[in-house]
Amino acid sequence: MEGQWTAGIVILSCYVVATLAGELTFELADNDRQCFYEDVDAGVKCTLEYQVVTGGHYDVDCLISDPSDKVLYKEIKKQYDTYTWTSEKKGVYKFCFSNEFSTFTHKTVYFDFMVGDEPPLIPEMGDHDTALTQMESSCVTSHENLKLVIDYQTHFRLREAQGRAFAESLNERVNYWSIAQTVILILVGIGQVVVLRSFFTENKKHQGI
Amino acid sequence: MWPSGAKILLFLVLYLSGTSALYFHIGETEKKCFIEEIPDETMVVGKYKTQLFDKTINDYLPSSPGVGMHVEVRDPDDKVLLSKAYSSEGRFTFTSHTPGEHVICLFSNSTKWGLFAGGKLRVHLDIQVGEHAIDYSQIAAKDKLTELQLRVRQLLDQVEQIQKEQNYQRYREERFRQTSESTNQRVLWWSIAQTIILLVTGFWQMRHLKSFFEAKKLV
Repeated sequence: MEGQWTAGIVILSCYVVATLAGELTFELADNDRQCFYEDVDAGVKCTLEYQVVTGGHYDVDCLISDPSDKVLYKEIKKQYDTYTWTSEKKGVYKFCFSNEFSTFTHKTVYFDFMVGDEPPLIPEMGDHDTALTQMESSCVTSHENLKLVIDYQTHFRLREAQGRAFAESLNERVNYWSIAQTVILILVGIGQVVVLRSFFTENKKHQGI
Repeated sequence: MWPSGAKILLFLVLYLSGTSALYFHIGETEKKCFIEEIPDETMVVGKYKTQLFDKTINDYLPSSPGVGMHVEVRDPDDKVLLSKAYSSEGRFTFTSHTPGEHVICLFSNSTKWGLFAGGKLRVHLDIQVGEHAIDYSQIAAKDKLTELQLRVRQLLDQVEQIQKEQNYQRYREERFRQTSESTNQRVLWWSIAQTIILLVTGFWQMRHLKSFFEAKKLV
């Protein structure tokens, strides 16, 4: 009976540890506002990081509020930023991205919301009575460094996506505008001649100009 | 067999386990899409849970079995990788075969909840990519690995993901360079072409008008 209680408490404790890392990339239409919510316990360190990947001047409004609707962070037209806070209350934290200042550009926004610490690989590893061996601690160090590498890779990927999207749109625009200019050039050339001719070919009443 | 206290504990566990992800609200006909830029042969696991808004209690019901979600995943060439309707709580997986931007779209596939919901559905979503998607407890049980072996396996998976991403970066940088070089060439050729057309048009204009005025006996 006691064993079952212990098992139950162990299972419950695995879920109570608040551990989340949600990263999403979504498209924000013009004049649109998107909000995301997260249930967070009290006293947990949270980090929100966001970056605008494509669209217009690569800026977005961001707002973070706590369960009592108090504004924790509010920025207008930011390209990328990161904000860390420790939750004071337990409840639903809300963060919103707004593109309401833009009339026709869609923005692609990437955000990464990290809550708490990383969970252990398997639940049994969480409760260690003895200290880690040297092998295990060097594994932990390597793991942390690799996580940093992956983080840098993500940042690099976003910057590269931004640059590439701009280059591709530039390429397209050069094409369209060149074609348009050539057509206008030819039309104006022919038009000038036609109009000039019409000054001279008319009703015999007006002689010449 | 189980004491009632343990049953309550188990119920709490099951209840808490379902409400852990990020969530957002979605309208009835609204389609929410998320973009994942991933290298090839990368596994993506998505977990979602929907909750219907109940006007009688003015809150979201803990679970609404009748409301299903339709999940559609498109690959960078706009080909549909996955298009399936799931129940109100589900898990979908796909593996990318081409590197690039994959679009994961979610929309509700039932029309009846509009009558009750007042137009709002709460969707919990958690998308894990690559090595985050691997379930280590399963691997530990299947291959019977010790803790140290499991840690090393995790490091190997991480390094593999980094390597795939680097490879993908190289391919993307090549595309970027090609685009820039093509822009450079286009600017050059179009400028030359437009200058030639300008000169030809001017020349034709003068010649045409000269012969026109000569015909009119004004010159």
